[in-house]
Amino acid sequence: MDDELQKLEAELRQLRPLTPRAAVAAELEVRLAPRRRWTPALFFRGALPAAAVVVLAFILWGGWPDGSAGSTGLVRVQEPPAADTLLKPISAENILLAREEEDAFVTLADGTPARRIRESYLDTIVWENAATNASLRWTVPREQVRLVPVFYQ
Amino acid sequence: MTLFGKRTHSDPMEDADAHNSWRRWFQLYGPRLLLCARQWTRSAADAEDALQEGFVRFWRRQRALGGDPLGLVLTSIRRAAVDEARARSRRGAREEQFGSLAEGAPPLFERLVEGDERRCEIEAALARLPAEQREVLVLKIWGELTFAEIAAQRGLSLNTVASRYRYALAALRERLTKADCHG
Repeated sequence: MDDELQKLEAELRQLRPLTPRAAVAAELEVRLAPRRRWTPALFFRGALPAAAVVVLAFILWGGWPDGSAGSTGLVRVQEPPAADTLLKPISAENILLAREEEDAFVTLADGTPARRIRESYLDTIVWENAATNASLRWTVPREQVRLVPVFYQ
Repeated sequence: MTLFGKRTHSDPMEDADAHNSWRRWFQLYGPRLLLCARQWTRSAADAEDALQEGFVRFWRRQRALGGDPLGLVLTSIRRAAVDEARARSRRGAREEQFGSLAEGAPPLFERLVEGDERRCEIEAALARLPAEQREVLVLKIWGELTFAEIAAQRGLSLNTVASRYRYALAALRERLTKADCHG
């Protein structure tokens, strides 16, 4: 490459590309914000019912240890429950309570327009022990949002 | 400070797991990424959208892949620009002749305190280059990619990339020389 072109190269390298507007970085802040794993709402919706199931199952099949320590100070641990005393899942049901289709379109990552559909469900799971007639029914509300692409002819 | 994927101890991409690292990285490389995006889009606004979309896609899904991070980001931005162009043509948008580099569009480079007329002449001359030559020139000069990296990213041969670069520089020199004569 001749000197003139090398000089032009050097001159071009002196120019500094324009910095993106602050709005671009602000939008990235929103889109790249860390997703919170646990919120109070999530905790009450997810962890508490699960904990309640665990506690109920423990009480129904195992009970509490009697705590008689004896002279050694050891706590007697109960035998694990027999298989025929366990609760087994027997049914799972989803009931659609409400369905709402929004009027405005959203745009997917690939540029395809899509319609947002919001659905509310009631999920119910039932466990039962045929031998003891014990049963546990767990009902939890659930909401989901579906994005359905819209195609034009 | 490193340039384009050649990592050193101080490269912010090394701590890519930290949520704040993208800010430092974007601050360093954002201007070059935007300049490259403007070669692939119809308007400055579209370039910003492609930059955002491409960066988010890279940061969420591709940064764990390994390889040259800047090359991956540039590829991601270019794909976002292509996707937007396809979506736009499906919506029946009107073609723009020069688009992102048209008169009235925001400048490509920071204004100079002295000699800003020269910057304007360079930008005008760049806008008149064939798109494929301008793209290679931008990726080489300001993107600081090697010919091999450009060839790999664009799926071209080394000779083609090198030729386009030489033609682009020669055409720029000719236009800027004419501008000096008329100036």
